[in-house]
Amino acid sequence: MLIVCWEVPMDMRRAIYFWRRFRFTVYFFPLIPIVQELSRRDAELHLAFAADQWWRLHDQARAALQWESGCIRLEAYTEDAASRALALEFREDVTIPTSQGTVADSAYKAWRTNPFTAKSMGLPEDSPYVTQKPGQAYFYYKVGADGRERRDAESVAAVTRAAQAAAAARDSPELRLSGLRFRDPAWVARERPAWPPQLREALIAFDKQVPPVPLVMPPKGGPLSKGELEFELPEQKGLYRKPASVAEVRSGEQKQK
Amino acid sequence: MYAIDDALETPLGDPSALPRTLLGRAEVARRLNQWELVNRDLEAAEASLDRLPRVAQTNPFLYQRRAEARMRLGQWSGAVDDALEAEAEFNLIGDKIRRTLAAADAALALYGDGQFEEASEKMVQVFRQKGQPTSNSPDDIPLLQVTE
Repeated sequence: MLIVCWEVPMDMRRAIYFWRRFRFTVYFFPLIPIVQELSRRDAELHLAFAADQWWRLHDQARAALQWESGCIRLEAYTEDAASRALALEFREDVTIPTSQGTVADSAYKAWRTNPFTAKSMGLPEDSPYVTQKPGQAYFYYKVGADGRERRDAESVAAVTRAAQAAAAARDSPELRLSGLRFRDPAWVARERPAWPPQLREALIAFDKQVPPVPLVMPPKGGPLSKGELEFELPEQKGLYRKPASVAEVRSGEQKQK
Repeated sequence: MYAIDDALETPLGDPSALPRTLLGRAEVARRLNQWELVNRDLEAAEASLDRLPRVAQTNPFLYQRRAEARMRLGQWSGAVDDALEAEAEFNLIGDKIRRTLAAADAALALYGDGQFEEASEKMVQVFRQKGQPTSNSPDDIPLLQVTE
């Protein structure tokens, strides 16, 4: 009897196990909203960082660079949210560009959104059957006599509605989320209540010193803006505690000797 | 703390029922902008975490929410602790996106607490990390990675 003893190396077994699991894992987490939130928070932190660099260190060049990057990132965030809203098919607020669908699609949509269709089936006109795309899992309820809708603030529908508001505000500089909003102390106090008062002071000081510059968006797919690449804190001011390199330690020891 | 201590003494069938209920009520209060109530409920929920089995004792969402509430209430040093705790726990479970969001919270809380240098270091950390979270799945090998 021949016994074949063939042992797969441990690393290979682990790699096979990992890739098998990786391949068949289905990610069902609603990632887009929190990635969008991360994008917005990061953009706003660039603005806060700019104000801080001006307020504490009076480093106007760095501050202006960071502010520009924050504005670019906020603009990209707003634009992305608006385009996502346009891609979603909600009957009441968004007009769907017909060029993107086939004739059958638009015919089906027209039939579905026709109030007579709902009535013929004994449904109210604002029934989710009529107002939402099938399979979108949009739950809502209405409260009181005025029939105002209340939705979960973090549900897909609510996030979509927020994106639609962003799309509606796309052409309105009064409503659009941008760097200009953060130059208004009343707006910051109202809309960003978690921001500390020191940061609001810093923003006011920054606004007085650094005038707004018209924003020039970099081309899509191009390199990142300068402030997104150069953000390390200056070492000479003792702010960024970078560990000393071996050469520096040795030269310091030689000096002591 | 008020009636909750009495409730903790009663032999409940499920020891996680009470903290879960408190988390739920805190969520309701959060939607209603009642930040005092959020803070109070989450403190009680944290106190009752000790009675759970060890594996159920971590909940980064609790600390994230409480950091948010404390920032609204102006309790900056408590918010710093909570945001850093949330960041560490999200890191532990491999949720890179929420970890970076918690770091952003920590940056703001540190600023409110007057620790400006630490706050700007935290901001720089967020700028450095924001491009790294390519996946957010808990299945994503957090244990095989070298953590910072």
